[in-house]
Amino acid sequence: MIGIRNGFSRLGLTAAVLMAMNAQAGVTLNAARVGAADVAALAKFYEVAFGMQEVQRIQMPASLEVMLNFGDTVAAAKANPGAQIVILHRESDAQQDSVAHLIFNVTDIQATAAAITAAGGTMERAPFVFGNTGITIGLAVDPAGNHIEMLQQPKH
Amino acid sequence: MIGIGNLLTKRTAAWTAGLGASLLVALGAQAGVVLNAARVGAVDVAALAKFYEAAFGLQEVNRLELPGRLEIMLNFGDSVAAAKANTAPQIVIMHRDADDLKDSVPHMILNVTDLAATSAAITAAGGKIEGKPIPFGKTGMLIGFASDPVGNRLELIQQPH
Repeated sequence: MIGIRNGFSRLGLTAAVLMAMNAQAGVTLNAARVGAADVAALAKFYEVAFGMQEVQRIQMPASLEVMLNFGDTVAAAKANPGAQIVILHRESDAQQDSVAHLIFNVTDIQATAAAITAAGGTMERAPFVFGNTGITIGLAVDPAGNHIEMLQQPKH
Repeated sequence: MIGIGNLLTKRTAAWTAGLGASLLVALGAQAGVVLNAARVGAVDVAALAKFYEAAFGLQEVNRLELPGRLEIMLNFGDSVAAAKANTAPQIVIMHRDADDLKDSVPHMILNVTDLAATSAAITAAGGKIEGKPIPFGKTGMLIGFASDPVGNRLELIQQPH
């Protein structure tokens, strides 16, 4: 706690921030979201490439939003309390965002890379080993241009 | 494992999408995929990490310092040790060269139990609240939108009490 307070002092943050921080015990990650001009088509990509299941969709007059999660069945995916992946409508896929907003843990990165390509995505960098960690990283782009990253832990 | 019934559903979906047999083979290999993290970008990664710590009570659990770039991983927990032990997906902040992106997609959605308190914490830590919380139909849910100090949009969801 002292270290954190010192960090705040360096940043010049106020007591109000510290009080507010203490109120944030009820915050958790609900989902990571990417955008697409064609939401339904991109949802199919995530279903096919990563074995995800659609767990909810919100159809608004001018936009569609699809929620996906992991599970052997739709029922299992709906019961999965883990953070979802959400696809939200955007007007255009022509964007310059190079940040990979989704990071996946995978157990077979070569198989995942093949699945991504087969489903219409693009591998922008073949899987490579990260330093001496034994972790293999792959970088890809989905069909709507969102960058995604895959991590494979060392196999023991 | 992907069940047979589910696989058939997948086959139908794949055929509908006009995809081939190779894809179906690849599909069967995807049982080992889970979400690791949601990531946002910032020119000043360390400063933005401090915002997420202050606004949401996140803890830094890892950092990668590479030549010319920094990446910080955060997670929820009452202590750094608890956050490091938290197996839920992390929030990762990665270096980018500019923060002036015109990206309207809120890439991160957070569950909150007290939307007003979280909104106050975001403002106090240097973020911005975008409008008033919106009731989502008749569900009792409240939805709020915010931006972090470098312009990444966030969505906040409060379930009915």
